[in-house]
Amino acid sequence: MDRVSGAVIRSGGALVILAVLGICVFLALVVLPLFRGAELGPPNSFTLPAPPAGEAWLHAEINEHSRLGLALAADGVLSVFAAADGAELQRDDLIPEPGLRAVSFSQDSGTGAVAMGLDDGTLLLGVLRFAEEFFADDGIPAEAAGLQVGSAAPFRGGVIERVTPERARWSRLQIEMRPPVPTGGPAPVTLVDYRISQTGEVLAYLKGSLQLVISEVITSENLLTGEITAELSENPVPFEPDPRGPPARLSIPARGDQLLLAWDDGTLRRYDLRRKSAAALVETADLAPGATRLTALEYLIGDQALLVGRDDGTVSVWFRVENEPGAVGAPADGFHLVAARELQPQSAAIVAIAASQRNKTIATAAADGSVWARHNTSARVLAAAQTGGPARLLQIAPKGDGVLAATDRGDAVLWPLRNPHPETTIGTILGATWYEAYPEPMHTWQSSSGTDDFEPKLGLVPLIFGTLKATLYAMLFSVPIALLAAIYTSEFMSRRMRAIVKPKIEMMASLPSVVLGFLAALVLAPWVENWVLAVLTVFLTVPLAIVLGAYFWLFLPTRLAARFGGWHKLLVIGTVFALATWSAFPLGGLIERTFFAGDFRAWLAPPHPGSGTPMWWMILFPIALIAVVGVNHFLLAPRRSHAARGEREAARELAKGALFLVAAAVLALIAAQILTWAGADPRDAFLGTYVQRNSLIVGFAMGFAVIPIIYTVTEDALSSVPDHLRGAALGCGATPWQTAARVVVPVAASGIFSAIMIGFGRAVGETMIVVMAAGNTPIIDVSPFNGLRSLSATIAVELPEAAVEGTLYRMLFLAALTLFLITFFVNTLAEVVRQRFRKRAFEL
Amino acid sequence: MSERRRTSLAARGEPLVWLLGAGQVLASVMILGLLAFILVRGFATFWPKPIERVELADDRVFLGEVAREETFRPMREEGSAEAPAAQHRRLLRTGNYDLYGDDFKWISEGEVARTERTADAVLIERLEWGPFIGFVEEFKSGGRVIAATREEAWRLYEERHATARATWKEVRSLEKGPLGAIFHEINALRLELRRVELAHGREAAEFAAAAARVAAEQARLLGESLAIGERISALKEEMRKDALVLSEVGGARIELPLYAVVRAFRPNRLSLGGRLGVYFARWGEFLTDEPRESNTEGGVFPAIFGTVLMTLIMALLVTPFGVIAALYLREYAQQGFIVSAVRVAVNNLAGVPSIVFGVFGLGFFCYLVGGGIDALFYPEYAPSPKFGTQGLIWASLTLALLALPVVIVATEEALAAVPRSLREAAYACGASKWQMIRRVVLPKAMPGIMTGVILAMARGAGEVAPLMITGVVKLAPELPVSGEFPYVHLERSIMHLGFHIYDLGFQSRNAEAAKPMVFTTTLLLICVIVMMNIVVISVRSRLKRKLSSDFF
Repeated sequence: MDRVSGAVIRSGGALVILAVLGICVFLALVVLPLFRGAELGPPNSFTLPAPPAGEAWLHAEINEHSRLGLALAADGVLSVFAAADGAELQRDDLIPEPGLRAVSFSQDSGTGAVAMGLDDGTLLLGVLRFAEEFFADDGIPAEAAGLQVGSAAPFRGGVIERVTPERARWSRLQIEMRPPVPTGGPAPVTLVDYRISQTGEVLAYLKGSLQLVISEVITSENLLTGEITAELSENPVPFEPDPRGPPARLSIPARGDQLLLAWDDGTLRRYDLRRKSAAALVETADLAPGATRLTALEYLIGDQALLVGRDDGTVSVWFRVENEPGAVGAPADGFHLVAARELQPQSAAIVAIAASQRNKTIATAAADGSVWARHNTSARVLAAAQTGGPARLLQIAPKGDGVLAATDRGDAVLWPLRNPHPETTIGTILGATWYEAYPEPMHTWQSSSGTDDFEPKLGLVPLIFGTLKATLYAMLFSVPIALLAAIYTSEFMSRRMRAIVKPKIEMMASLPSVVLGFLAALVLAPWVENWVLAVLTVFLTVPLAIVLGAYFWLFLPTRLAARFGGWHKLLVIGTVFALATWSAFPLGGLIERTFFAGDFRAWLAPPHPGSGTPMWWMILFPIALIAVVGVNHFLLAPRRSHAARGEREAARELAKGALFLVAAAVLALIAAQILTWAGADPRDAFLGTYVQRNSLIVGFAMGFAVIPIIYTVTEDALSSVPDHLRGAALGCGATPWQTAARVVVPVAASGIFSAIMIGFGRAVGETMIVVMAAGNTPIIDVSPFNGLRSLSATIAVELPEAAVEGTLYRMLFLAALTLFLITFFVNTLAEVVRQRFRKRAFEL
Repeated sequence: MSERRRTSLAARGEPLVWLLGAGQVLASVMILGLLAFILVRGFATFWPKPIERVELADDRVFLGEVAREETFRPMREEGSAEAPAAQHRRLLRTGNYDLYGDDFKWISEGEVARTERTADAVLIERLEWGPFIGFVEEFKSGGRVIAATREEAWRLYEERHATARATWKEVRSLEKGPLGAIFHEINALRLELRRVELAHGREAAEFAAAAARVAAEQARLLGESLAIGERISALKEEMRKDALVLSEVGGARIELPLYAVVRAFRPNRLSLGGRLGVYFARWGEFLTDEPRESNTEGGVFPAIFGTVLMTLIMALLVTPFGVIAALYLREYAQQGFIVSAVRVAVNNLAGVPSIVFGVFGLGFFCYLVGGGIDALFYPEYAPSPKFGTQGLIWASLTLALLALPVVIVATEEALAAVPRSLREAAYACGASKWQMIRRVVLPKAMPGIMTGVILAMARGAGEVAPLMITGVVKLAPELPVSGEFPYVHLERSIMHLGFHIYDLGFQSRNAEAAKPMVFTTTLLLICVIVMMNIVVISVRSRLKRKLSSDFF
């Protein structure tokens, strides 16, 4: 029995402790995959179906299950093949008239929109789209009946695959080509781009080397025959031919709001198309500086960022950012292009760039046959592979799970791509990252949005900042109160009073934080919003009134003062406190009317009425007061200890106090005025617009959670200072105040430090108060009147919605791990300090 | 005396002592003020308030109860130099959301022309659309008006309301009870079949046998459900017969079936007894009923039940593990650097934010352990998870982990407090180590361990952040305890008082309408936690007395 129970307890205990410590390990294990690159699986090499004699494939792509592919040649021949082995399944000819060829070609990988400019001057528009159909149970055709789950066979021009024992999926190509539309004249279209979006179709083309046209495609259906005819509404764009010859590339985003023309030497012209009838050239840029030549140009998903490939193997990312206000010579449409990022160069000229339709992953192929998978946001190379020659036909599979690269000769390679977390590196998480359309690299957290082409912004810095900001304001509020209260309880209260007061304050610790958050957000925040200045005034009036009250208390004969030392004194202090608080309301109103243009919130808001001096004064006054008192204490009257004479001494003390106040006020005013003259305004420097749920509210509400902890630990530390030290001090003639300030508190200093650290740990991880009362805005801003968002609040709000094992899920685990490590470190520090303190107190 | 006077006044440090005192006062006022605020607001919520008819200067008329009054300062208008003066205004709860599209109306003091208390005004708490405030004009039965005056209609309402409600409750209990059970059974049969299919394949003889049996069972159950359905429709027919014709203050009329009236009263005519009756009836509904109107009305019984059950399961889980770990640390492990390092680590875990435990609970318990259980034992549920998602057991486990350090520390302290002499006496009597622990140390340490466990429960009951990740939902369709096997459904999501507060205050359609409920829920939660704390404090003081007196 004894041995069994011993074994159970030993193994059980060790297990429990291991499990507890395993939390950290588990969190780290979930986080780790974030930093792993992508993997290209074993390549599947095959040969594309042979192109027609004398032609090469212009374009090749595979479908979302990587089962079916298509290849297209300039003479209109379209080949559908099985992506497993390249076996041709079907061959069509898209160009109805024999003998015609495509001079120009464009394909939009998101929608499958295809445009071909034919050499008779017409345009062939249409959509090549992969479609699929499912067969279940008895409906499974005979071709698929004998298939194993996961294998596929040719079927009616496409491929059929057994997905589960009950279901089969037939993938095929849907060809929806319209009859060729004339473009006004026999000159062939030399460059074309055709895009389809939810709002409509846009088309831009260059005819010969003279005419640049954008047009919207208007389709109409013949009611009798059901035949659909397309017409172009053409808007010429003023195009000045360039001495270098015709441009090599033309590109429009699916939004159709701008048009890019690029030459091989890197010159780029950007036209503003927001008003189709008044399109205008707004910007010229050089995408390939020096002698380098532009060899590839592709939009990233979302059509914001441009990927530029050059003949020296470099790849860079460009996008539009807003002009700075008042910038001279900036493009007229309010934006200008910037080279945001230079990606790691490949060793030979870039021949093709492909963008993923799922995220910001890209693939680049170089002339030496190397194919790299990269990511735009994180700028990292995810994986690299090698083909036999320059892979001009390059595609990232529609689901982002494969890369297809094919050479002119038709040698194709398909790599499966495992690419779960391309966007996260230490750099993007902790560094400033230049996101699309942002004016500069920034620390940003914005994890999700409604659209697919959204670029997740996963910088933890704003959240860490928010956490520390909330903690700072909470500590600013609660540390003084908790320490003052603890010292009073321990040193100036009788044992009986202590037994009543201490449990009350400790009870505060058991208030659920959800209650505090709710009260702070729904009761306190709207109320404070009405009375901001009164609340700020309280911070001045209460300490002043308390100190003033103390001076008047000095007029009390010592005998009376001693008799009323207990509850009565506390009651008097409470009354003074209440009076001071109450007086802050009319006073705050007066200050607001006199100094803050009548409305503090309006004073904070952008037009910035009035001057910044009063605010500077409010901030500087306490500092000046401390300085004045300090100067007096340490320089003018060091350790003055002459005999005192009752009331007269009290009156002198009072006069001195008043003098200090006036001196501090004048000093602060002078300093404030100097700051204002120097052009500093607190509203520019660190105070923003007033937000209802702000850091001030959070700090106050968190005070309820933090004060009792600091209070309890501090009080314990103070009470464990041995009584013989107090006795010795008092015996030497020290007053209780001197005993407390010069003997007890210094001895207990390390205990007090650990109390503050424990309070810090609690504030860092506080969740519900921040979720409810902080406004949840992930911004980096020190203003106490602005909101914040902490690590813990982000976890609580976003984790229930995050896809399991997705990037956001792991990022939130990283946030949790960060919190764990911060608090673990702080608490360990506190614990070590406290143990040392205990040992010291024991030795004394 | 003269001796005392000779000390410098500066040495007495009076101003600084006063600052210390002010800190003390503020800390005490904060806690007492907060508790008082919650008590007042929480207890006042259900008190029936008089209904006021407010005529404005522009001839608009409103009828409603005054929810609260305040002094506010409007934002300054664009371009005006003078800031507007503070104004007094009241928030009138006008109800009738279906008619007005809003529950509340702010009325500034300056606009009011006349205020009066109309005697006939009625407040009706309805099943849908929140309260109705207006007048009862007629009483209809079977589509025919049988009472055409306000008095007559009210008398008939009082006469027939109880019966209509009883019928409605019967319908509800039929739908939830027998009918619900049948649907559960049908679903269980479907899963059973799927299980057979996964085990043997569709072509197997077992599958054919099971399919036949399941089909027969399902046919029988469907027959039963049809019978109950008929009974329900008969009852519904009957309960739809009686209706009230109501008019709001502007004159618009609506018809309200009698069964949809939860409670109706004329606040301006109520005696003190009547008021008390309404007050306690509302408390009764709050404590025992289910929520309505996306939680803003009705009761919070599922949340109370969920909170208590989760906390109990947590205590059941945490106690043995915590005690075993503490016994190991204190009695069995070799005291040395490693053990004290472990002790520091365990201590510090108490300071790790609860949300971190929540994240761990979701990743480890819900997805890893729960997903594993699903894959091993419940493949027939796929693709929808049974254990592999948020649920009661995972929330309890997470809380248990969170509370483990509390219990370990408390138990260790209790173990350390058992005097050495007792142990030595036990050994001297020939007891083995385990016997000594079992018979001497543990009983002696029991009150301390209990304190730790209750402290852990109090902390657990108030936690929200880790729960909203691991198993607490806004509205749980079913309680985790039911009449169906295995009676306690550990995998179900639960409701929780703390999360209820968050959800009501921040996620509901109308935060203002939900506010009273938030205050009462808060009051309830605080009561539960304060009660647990009082138990702890009394146990602790008794323990101290016992230990100091029981010394050898």
